[in-house]
Amino acid sequence: MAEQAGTTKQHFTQAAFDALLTTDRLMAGTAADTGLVSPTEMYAYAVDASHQPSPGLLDALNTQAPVQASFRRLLNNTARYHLPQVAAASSGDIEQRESEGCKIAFRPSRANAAQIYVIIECIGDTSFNPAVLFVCAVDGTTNRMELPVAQNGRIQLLLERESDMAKGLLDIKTEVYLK
Amino acid sequence: MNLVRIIIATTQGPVTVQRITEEDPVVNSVVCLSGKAVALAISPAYDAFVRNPTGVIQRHYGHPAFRVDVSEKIDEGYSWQLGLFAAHALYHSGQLAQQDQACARTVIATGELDRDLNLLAVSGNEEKTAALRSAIEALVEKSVAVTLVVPKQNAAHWISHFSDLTDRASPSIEILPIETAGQLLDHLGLSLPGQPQHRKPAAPQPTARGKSSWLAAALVFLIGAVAVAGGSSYHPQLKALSDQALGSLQALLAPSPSENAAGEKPAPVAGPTPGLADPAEKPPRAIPAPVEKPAPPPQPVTRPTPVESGPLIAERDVLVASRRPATIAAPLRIELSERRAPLGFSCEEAHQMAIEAQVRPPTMRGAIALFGKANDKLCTVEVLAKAASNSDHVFGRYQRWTQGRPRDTEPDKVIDLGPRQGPVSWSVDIPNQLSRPAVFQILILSSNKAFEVTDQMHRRLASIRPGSDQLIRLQNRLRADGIKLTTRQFRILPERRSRTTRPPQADATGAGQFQPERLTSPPSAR
Repeated sequence: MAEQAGTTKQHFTQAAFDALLTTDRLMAGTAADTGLVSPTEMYAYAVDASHQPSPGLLDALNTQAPVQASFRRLLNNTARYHLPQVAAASSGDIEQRESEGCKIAFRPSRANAAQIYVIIECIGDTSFNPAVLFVCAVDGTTNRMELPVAQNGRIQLLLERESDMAKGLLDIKTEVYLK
Repeated sequence: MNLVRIIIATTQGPVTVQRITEEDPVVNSVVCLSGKAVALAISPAYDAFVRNPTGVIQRHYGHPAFRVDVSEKIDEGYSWQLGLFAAHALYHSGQLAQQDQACARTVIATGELDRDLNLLAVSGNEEKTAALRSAIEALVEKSVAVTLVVPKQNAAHWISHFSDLTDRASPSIEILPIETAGQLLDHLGLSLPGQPQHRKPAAPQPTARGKSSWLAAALVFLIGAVAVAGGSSYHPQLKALSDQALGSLQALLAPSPSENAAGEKPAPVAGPTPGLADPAEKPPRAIPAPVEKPAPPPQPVTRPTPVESGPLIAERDVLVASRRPATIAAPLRIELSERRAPLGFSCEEAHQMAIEAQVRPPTMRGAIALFGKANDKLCTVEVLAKAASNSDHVFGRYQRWTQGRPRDTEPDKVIDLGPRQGPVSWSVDIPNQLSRPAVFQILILSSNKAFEVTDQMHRRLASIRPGSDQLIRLQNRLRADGIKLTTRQFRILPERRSRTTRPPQADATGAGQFQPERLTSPPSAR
């Protein structure tokens, strides 16, 4: 039932963005002139792992608070899993982030201490394979990563510990979305 | 120590194995590019090549997760398997030349392995040989001994392509056509932990010693067969008998020097490579025990006096080790807890608004765990199965029936986790509206030694239904292998049913939503 409700909401959201697409077409050229962000592109960026965002969208997501807020709402409505801020009991590195049905674990590489394994397991719904991951920071900025195909129900990433993505995932104040 | 460098022949050119590192067992094995955080596309295939039950590396060398750094990309195919298998064997014996370590010999390999370590023919030989030529010439220039190891089926091409190099009478390059990975290990003077029969036996000679050896081998086989057929569980007396019998056979079994070299050794096309071990001169070392050797049984066992090492004696060691069960793991802890939406929120709202769910254990009333009322507030049931020791290996299966009775239908959801070292856990979603009772079953296999869940075991697990008689039989069968099977079941009743079936003494707030918990492991197995 929860899944049905979620699907209905997704359909509704998609329909809304279809309407916005029509608006985009009617206003063709206006967005580029005014620096406005196309809602359609924002939607595609949120839900389509293969979508290549325009520099304008990335710039707006990095600098414009209203766009950041809109995008966050969009993620809230379209992402399958949301992993909230971590309530850490200590100031050290976190070992995992967890949400209902989904877990992201971190393991340092023994081969290279400057690298870290990120293991994503969504056991709430085995038919769902996350394709894209978003890390949203408290300052409103968003990092996005296309995910590899799951292997036996888990996705494993190997990241440089100092990369923006790893730092974001290990930051207890960020929120993570999986779509 | 004589270090050996491994190069994998690919269609794009030579790829050097730079380093092997044992990683945390919970991660998947990866192949990375030159120390960078770049997992190559073959990483999933490499993980399957390493990890039980599909892989061969964990089976022979114990550890389930490795990272291999290579010098160049390998995008697809499986012909890297022979090279990486040889690299693991050398790494295990401390003989793999890693990073920039100097070494006087290099093995260039191509070939795909099956699970029995038979070498399969490969494609792309034209490209591989063309791409290798300059690298081989450079190595020969530096007086590095080079062995090209290729599947026997592909050997003709390699021999003809490099005939100019081998015809120079250079003693430092040879081509080794092989049929099994064991033949390469023989050539390197290495042995195969856990499976000493990798050599193809030579035809028996009609000598008295040969006949005795065959008789002895038959007796060993009979003892092994009796040990297997004699009961589904492990008998120390039987093992002691086996040990005595085997001990008395040692004189017969002790290999003569000629027998030591009896394993079929492929003849290199060129002359012997200087520095490479020749099994005919240097018998293989005693086969070491598997890395994750199980703990010894509680009672002391009289072991025959060790004798000089040789393949058959090593085989006996492995035979005994394989009959010895792991010590039954310490009790397994299975925890159930509920996640419930806070007051005023549904589960979905709590999820969407990132409101933290309330987590608490079930209220136990005798054998029944009671949860508060209303399905719409019971978001998930968390199941955590944790062995007493983090080094224990655990496999878990979660299965649920929401559409029909378990005895009549297949489960509509099955989630397997492991085997892995450490806990397994599930977050069980509770449908908002249940039309009939939902039945959940947790099956946990645990052992203090690594094990694999074979296809047969999967089938047997799938046949177990809550309350079925097959459970006890399977528990006994697995216990003989040192694996403990623990199951736990619970039901979630529809709200209307739970109201009618609520125990009279239930607490004031609660319909009995959640009826676990029948621990079906026999007490001895707990």
